[in-house]
Order: sequence, then structure tokens, then C-alpha cells
Amino acid sequence: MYMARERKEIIIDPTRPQNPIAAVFKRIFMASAAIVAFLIVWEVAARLELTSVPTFFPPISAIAAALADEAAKGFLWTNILISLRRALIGFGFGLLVAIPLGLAIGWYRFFGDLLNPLLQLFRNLPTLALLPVFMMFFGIGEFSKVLVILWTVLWYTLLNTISGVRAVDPQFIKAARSMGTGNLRLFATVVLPAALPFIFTGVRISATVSILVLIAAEMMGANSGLGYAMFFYQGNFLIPQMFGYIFVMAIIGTALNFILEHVEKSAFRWRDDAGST
Amino acid sequence: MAENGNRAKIRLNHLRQIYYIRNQQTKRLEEFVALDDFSLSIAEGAFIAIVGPSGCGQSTLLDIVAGLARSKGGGTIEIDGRNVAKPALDRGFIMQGYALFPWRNVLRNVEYGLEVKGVSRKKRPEIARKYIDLVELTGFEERYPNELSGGMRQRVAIARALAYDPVVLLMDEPFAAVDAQTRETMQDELLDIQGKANKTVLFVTHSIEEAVLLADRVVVMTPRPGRIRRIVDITLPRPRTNADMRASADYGVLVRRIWELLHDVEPTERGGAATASGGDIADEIDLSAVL
Repeated sequence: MYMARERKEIIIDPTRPQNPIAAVFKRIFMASAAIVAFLIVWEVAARLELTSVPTFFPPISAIAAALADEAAKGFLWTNILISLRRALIGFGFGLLVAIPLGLAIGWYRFFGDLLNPLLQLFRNLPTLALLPVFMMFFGIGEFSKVLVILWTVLWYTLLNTISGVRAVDPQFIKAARSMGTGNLRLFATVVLPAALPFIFTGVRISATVSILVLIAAEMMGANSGLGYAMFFYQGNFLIPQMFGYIFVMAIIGTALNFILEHVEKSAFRWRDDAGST
Repeated sequence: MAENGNRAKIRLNHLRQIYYIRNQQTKRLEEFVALDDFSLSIAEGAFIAIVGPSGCGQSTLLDIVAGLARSKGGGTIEIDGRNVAKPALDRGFIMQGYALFPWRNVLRNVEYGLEVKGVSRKKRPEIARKYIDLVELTGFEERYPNELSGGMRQRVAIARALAYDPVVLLMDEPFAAVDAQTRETMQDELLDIQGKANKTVLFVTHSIEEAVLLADRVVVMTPRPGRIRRIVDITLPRPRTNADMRASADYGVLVRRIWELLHDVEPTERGGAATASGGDIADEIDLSAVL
């Protein structure tokens, strides 16, 4: 009897609308209406030359045409690939350093407390201010740019990993310990999975930030990449091209965040408390 | 179910726990005896309930028996005649907050102890399903804890502790976090499970009614320091249910008697089957020491 009552407590997605096709249209509309409206206003304003600097304010259609031209010549793809490669290398190495280090610092409280003041100091160093320093030491080549991304990724992921490990509910540890679980197993089966959502949040934030930092690095010193291309076209007053690259960067950043948010949601569904009573 | 003979399955000898707490006025560290000279022999399959006011060291006691804390008075814990000090799979611990791993579904939660035990990957689901069935959660194997109600979570926690087949179950106010109705259901279920699994149980609760309903013996504690005040035998016939007990006069008498012991009222002795086994607690301890 009570079983029947408890079974009912599990309600699967009560907000699901009735008509699936209408729902898809609604979602598409909700996702794009504001953006489309913004682009239309831009287009009209530019064509009617409503701004005081029409030269610097080309219509969307002109920007799209310039971008298509860049794509046709292959420049766009080359630049995207170069930038993504830099971001990925810096990002990957950043995670390789940050996650194991964060786990260790979080687990060994003594080291954590000892290192914390230094970590806080490093984290609060403005990354872009460090870029010239890196360039002084390592030149304006790939290494400096990758290093800047690594540096950015490192702090976001490291600090989130540390707090993730420290935030593990002592109840879980007690439960595992009561079964005679050893340190290694405790770490692998309790601490790591419990900390994973925190770690992933750090990863997601640093992914987005690393793109921003990369663009800045490419503007300061590079001969390829999205940031460089944007800077180059700005210098040569090819304004539609410049805007085109700015849009591409925005799209890449948004897409990255979108993908990672979805991965996060589906990987950590157990964290969602919506189903609890 | 009743304690048979005098072969003790578990023997707790002179357990003691001290904490140091800072006095608010004098700002000095003061010794706080949470648990003092706790000795008890428990027969195989016996259900022991421990009742007492908050801060009488009940949870401390369970932590010590589980091996999660050390008895700082040289006390010892024997299971089947062997001394135990560290946590191990011979004791199953069930906590008030369930402590299910939220990233594991029901099946994988129940399998956890089996992994620690070294049971092969193939055999784990088989054993786990058996215990999920025992707590009547078949069909919920793939659910995650956040999809379950409080009562269901507690049943998963019980299945998890039973699955690795411990000698003794340690239950620390397991039903304190569920609503009154679920609590009654869970009590009846625990009686049923206990009837099937026949585990030795050490059960901490603040509810006198719960203690009398479930236990063979109720250990009544005094607060600060936590000491045994009296051990009351519960001679009510089994199987028991909440419904039976509400109709039983003996049940009411036992609840009343324990209430009086807890509230420091001189017990009113009454005749009949429900009278607690009298005698001072000192006798009980001496007896267990002799055995």
C-alpha cells in the first residue's frame, strides 16, 4: 500500500508540454527572437546611416558578405583552426596540471592551508598584465600564447578542484569508512566522484575565459589567429571583416559554453534535486 | 530471536570517550566525558535498543563500535571472541542521513560494500538485487537517490548495509529524518527484515516507543556522562507490529517504565510479563564480565 503511494512520488518531467511540434517551434523562437531582432535593428540603422560614423558601422549584410569572402579564400578556417589549436593545447596542459594538483592540495589539508595564500595571490594577478612578461621571457611565438592560456585555466580549475575535494560531505566518507574502505579506494570511489561537479564547473569557466585570453594574446603579438585577423583588419580599416571576426569569436565562445553546459547537465544528473521529496 | 543461552556474539567492555571542549566563561579546555564505562554483552540475533537524552553518548558509542572512533579508556570490543578496533565489513553502519552516494544508482549503492569485500563484478549485481528485493525496492535499481523519497532512501541504506552480510548492524537513529507515518512503516519493515536476516542489531533512538517495539533489550542511558542506567528486557512476543503493540497493555507498561527511568522517577513496580528485569545495572556488568 505504501509502495503504491511512494511510486507515485516519482513524477517524470511534469512540465512537458502537450504538442511536441509546437514545443520545438516555441523553443526555436525563444532561442533566436532577441538575436534576430538585434540584427534587424543593426541592419536598418546601418542602411539608413543613423549613426554619426557610418564608415565604422557597416550593415549586417556587408559583414556577412565579407565573412563569406574570408571563408571562400580559406583565411577564416585557417584562423579558426590556429586559434582553437592554441586554446586546446593550453587548455589541455592546464587541466593536466590543475586537476591532479588540486586533488592533492584539497586532500592534504596541511598543504592546502600552507599554499593557499600563494595561490590566492597568483589567481588575482591579472592575466593580461602577465602577457608582456611572458613575451619578454619566451618571445612572441606559440609558447607564450599557450602559456597564457595555461595560466588562466590553471587557477580556475585548480581552485574549483580544491574546494570540490574539501566540500565532500563527511557523511559519505563516514559511510565508506565504516565499511573498512582504504584511503585509495575512498579517494577513487567517494572523493573524486563527489568533487567532479565542482571540477567540471571550473573547467567550463576556464574554457570560456581561455578563449577570451587567447584573443587578447593574439592581438598583442601574433601573425595568425582570430585575434590577429581582427586586429589586422581594424588597422587596415576593413571594418566589415573586422566585425565578421568579432562575430565569429562570439559564436565560438557561445558554442563552447553551450556544449559544456550540456555535458555538465547530462553527466551530473544525479545532482539535480528536482525529483527529491 | 530471543537471546539464546549465554554465548555472547558481541561484547563491549568498559568503553569510554572523552572530548575536550572550551568553557565559555573560563576559556579553558575542559574534559567532557561523553561515554563512561559502557559494558554490554549481546547474544547472536539480539536486537538491542539504546535510549537516552541527547548528549548521552549514544552516537559516540556507535562510532566506537564501528571503529570510526577510539575508546579512550582502554575499552575493548569483541566480536565472536576477537578484538576489533578498525572499521570492517563485519559491522554494518546505518546513519540517520542515509549517506547514500548520490552519483550511484540504487544498485550501485548496494554494491558498494561488495566491491570493498572483493566480490567479483559478475556476482555483485546478483547479491545486490537480492537485498534490494528484501527491502521491496525491486524496479528501482536504476534510480538515483535524488529520485527517491526519504523512506525509500533509508531502505536503500539498509540494503547496502545488509548486502555485505555483516555480523552486526549498527543503526544510528535511522528513522529520525522521515515523517511519522513512514517511520511506522519503516519500523514494521525493519521487524520483518530482522526476522528474515536475523542480524544482531545495536539501535540508537530517542523514541521510547520505537525502542520497545523493536528491541529484545532496551539500554537506558544517563546523560553527561553517558552511562548505562538500567537494562530493560522486552519480553513482548514476536512477531510484533505497530498495530499489535498499540493494542498491547504490556507495551504501554514498558514504555511507561522506561519513561520513568529516563525522567529519573522512581519506577513503579508492576506485576506481569511486562515487568522489566530488575536488578541494578552493576549486576549486569558483573555478570557479563564473569561470562
